[in-house]
Amino acid sequence: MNSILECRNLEKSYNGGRSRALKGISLSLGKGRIIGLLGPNGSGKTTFIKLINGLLTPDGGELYIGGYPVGVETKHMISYLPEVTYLGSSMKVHQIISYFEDFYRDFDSGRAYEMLYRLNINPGDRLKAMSKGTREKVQLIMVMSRNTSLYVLDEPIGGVDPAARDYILSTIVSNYNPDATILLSTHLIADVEQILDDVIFLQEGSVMLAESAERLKKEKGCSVDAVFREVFRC
Amino acid sequence: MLGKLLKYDYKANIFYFLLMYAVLMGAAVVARLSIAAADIQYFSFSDDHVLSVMAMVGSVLFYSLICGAVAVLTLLLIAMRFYKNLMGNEGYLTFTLPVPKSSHLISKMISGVSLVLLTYLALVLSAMVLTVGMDFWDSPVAVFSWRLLEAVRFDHPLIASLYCLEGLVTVIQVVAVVYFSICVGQLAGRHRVLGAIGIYLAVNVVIGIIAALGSTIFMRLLHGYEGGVFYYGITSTVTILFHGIVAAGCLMGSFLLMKWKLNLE
Repeated sequence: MNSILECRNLEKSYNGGRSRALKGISLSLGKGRIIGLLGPNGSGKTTFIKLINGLLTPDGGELYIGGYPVGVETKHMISYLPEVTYLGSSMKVHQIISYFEDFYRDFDSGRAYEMLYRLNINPGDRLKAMSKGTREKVQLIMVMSRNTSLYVLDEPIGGVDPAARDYILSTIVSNYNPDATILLSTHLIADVEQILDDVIFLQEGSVMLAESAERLKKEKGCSVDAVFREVFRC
Repeated sequence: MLGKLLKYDYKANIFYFLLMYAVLMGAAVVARLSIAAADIQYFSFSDDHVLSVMAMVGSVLFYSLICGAVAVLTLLLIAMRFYKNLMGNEGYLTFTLPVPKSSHLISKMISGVSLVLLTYLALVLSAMVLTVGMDFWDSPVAVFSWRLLEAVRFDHPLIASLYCLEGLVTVIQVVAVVYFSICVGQLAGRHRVLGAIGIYLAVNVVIGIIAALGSTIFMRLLHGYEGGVFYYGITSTVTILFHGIVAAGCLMGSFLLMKWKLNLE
């Protein structure tokens, strides 16, 4: 099996079916790839990511991760970074590390402390005393300190300054297992396209394009960012 | 994993509960001291007697207020923990832990019910503090209360055990209804808190109506048996069954909603 994620005709609606967020998408994500999930606001990126993580229940279709339907087994395989702060704000960083250690057998606390040290983040500090950017870095450190098969990162560089973006991207690239897959959703394509192996364009809940980033650049003769701007021109 | 979930559930709430119990005990001690001071003033025929009686009444009223607040806050804190940890932003982490959804519900039930029981214990202890060194057990209030308990056959070991079980099942039902209301409320999208409050009120109204109708029918059926061990035994057993069924229904409903209709928008 060369794919880590398979979905067929995956559907999700809100407001009692009036608003269709995903219109039966079918995808296969290969192992060991860094995949950009790209699309404008409301295209269904976050809905797709929440379905992968079991935070939403699909209305129809099938979704398998590592051959399993979404459940306890798949949660062992996924390390998820949401766009919101999901850690308790009154927790200290070392308490968060203990929490992850308690629940994830693949969590490497040594790696987490090393990354904290490099970023000059005190493990004794409480999350609520930190800036938004630092909180996002702490979350990313927790997510990337797991040795798992699928990393799902929803807007990991959305709320940080350009200098921190570079650090976050290098953290992502240098801290994941090469056999693992990274699914990365973002609007900031120019910042991430140099690390992407594949791209998926979503538009209004449908897959518009799913292609190797290299092939796309060769075919169109321009960057992924330029293709995106052309495709989603307002 | 259940043990770990419980550990973090208790950790998240323990500070607030200890603070609440400390305030409760403090209020009980102050009330007890003011009662003692009023007694001394009374026997010394001092002019300050009126003042000390006013202080006593004030501190006992304050203690009663704190008792009520502790009971309400206990339920509120339990509800807030459930909402924040499962249906708020923390839910993004909680529900991505490699733990079955049933474990989350069981953990919240165990911690919620045990914290309510702990609050009962704290209230009883504070009442003991308030009455320490007093001839409370000979007072008219105590005598009347004991007569009342005797009238409902609390003096019978079997009936007393049934009443204790009834108390426990009622606590389980109260917590289960709170959780169920929050689980239904999350379906209301942006109005999830309002939705949860509405469902909580609606469920309690329905429970109240069923209980009132049921007890009326039941009293007619048991006409002629009033006052005996059989009467109170059967009444308590039916009450336990009723609360148990409501609790089981709410827990099953909460589990199914978390499993099939989870909506962390």
